[in-house]
Amino acid sequence: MSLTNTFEELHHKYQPMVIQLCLGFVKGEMDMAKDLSQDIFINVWNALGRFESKSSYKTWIYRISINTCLLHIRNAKKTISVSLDKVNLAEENSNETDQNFATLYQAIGKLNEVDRLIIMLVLDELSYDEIAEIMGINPTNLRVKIHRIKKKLKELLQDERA
Amino acid sequence: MKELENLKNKWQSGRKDLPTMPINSHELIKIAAQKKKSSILAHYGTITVLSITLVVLILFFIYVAPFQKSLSHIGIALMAGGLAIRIIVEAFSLAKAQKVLLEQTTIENTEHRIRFYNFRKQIHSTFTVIIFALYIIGFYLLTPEFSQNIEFNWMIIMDGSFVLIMIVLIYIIRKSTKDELQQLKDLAELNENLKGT
Repeated sequence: MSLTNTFEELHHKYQPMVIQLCLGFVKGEMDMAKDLSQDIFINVWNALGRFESKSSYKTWIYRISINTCLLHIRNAKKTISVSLDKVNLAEENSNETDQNFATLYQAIGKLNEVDRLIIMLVLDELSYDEIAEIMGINPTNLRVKIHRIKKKLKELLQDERA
Repeated sequence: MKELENLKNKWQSGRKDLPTMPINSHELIKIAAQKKKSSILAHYGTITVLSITLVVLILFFIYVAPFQKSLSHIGIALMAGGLAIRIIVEAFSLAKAQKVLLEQTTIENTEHRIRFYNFRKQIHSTFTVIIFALYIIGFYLLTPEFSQNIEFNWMIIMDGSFVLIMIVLIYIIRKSTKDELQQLKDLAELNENLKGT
């Protein structure tokens, strides 16, 4: 299979996964999430020739996505802080289901950047081993971390609903 | 526990309703090629400009103003040498930057970037100072022979503009150094977050 075909397949298969990760990362701001997703897939295309099948495509794309998100936040810290206000505005005009998501994205957005990314991997039902493989974090540390993040997210969601 | 399961379900059901990206994979490949082109231009731009400056400088001293005195020859060597060192350092820095791969694990990628910015910090604190010193000393070593061939007023304009250019350059370099040091600080914080519990 040619690189172009592989890329087309990966783009089709993993686009929702990447957009949702970006959406959670930029606190629900759709335009920003789409731009970030575009950057991620450009990076996926640029790296595709180096893919060595040492991991699954999913894990590999997650690595690129997370590193791109972290790079993006350092390059555009100011822009991202604006996005939360946009979410608040969007929330006022949306239906109940969208509001539920906005609450979730807002609560996730209040976590620090690393915790934000880890909890999204957990919500995507990745195993602890897979998350450790993506982030390079020691599995024991990761377990403690996830336990703490879950607790914090619960508190944040309660605050959001209050 | 139950709440987390609910969140997982909500997260996964939300994925079905997500809009798709406005562009398809073929358009993405085209954008990637364009971005690569402009990124190559940006990366090699500095090296190209510095190399052209070096060549023009050498040609100027050979054909336009062939200096005779040894002191001037030392001055030319220092100026050209400073520029040559800068070109080598830039090329080395570029090669190092290209080794930072996005498909690495988050910790590997962060540590790789930290090593890169530490290298840049070293460049700014030692190499840049040495290169500036070489260039400034080299320029002023040319002054005695220059003054024999051009009028005093022109000498003042030349020296004055040289000082002005140096001030502007120092300001630009200081600003970019500050940005890079901030990047290093952010990365160190990120690394701590990743490794801590």
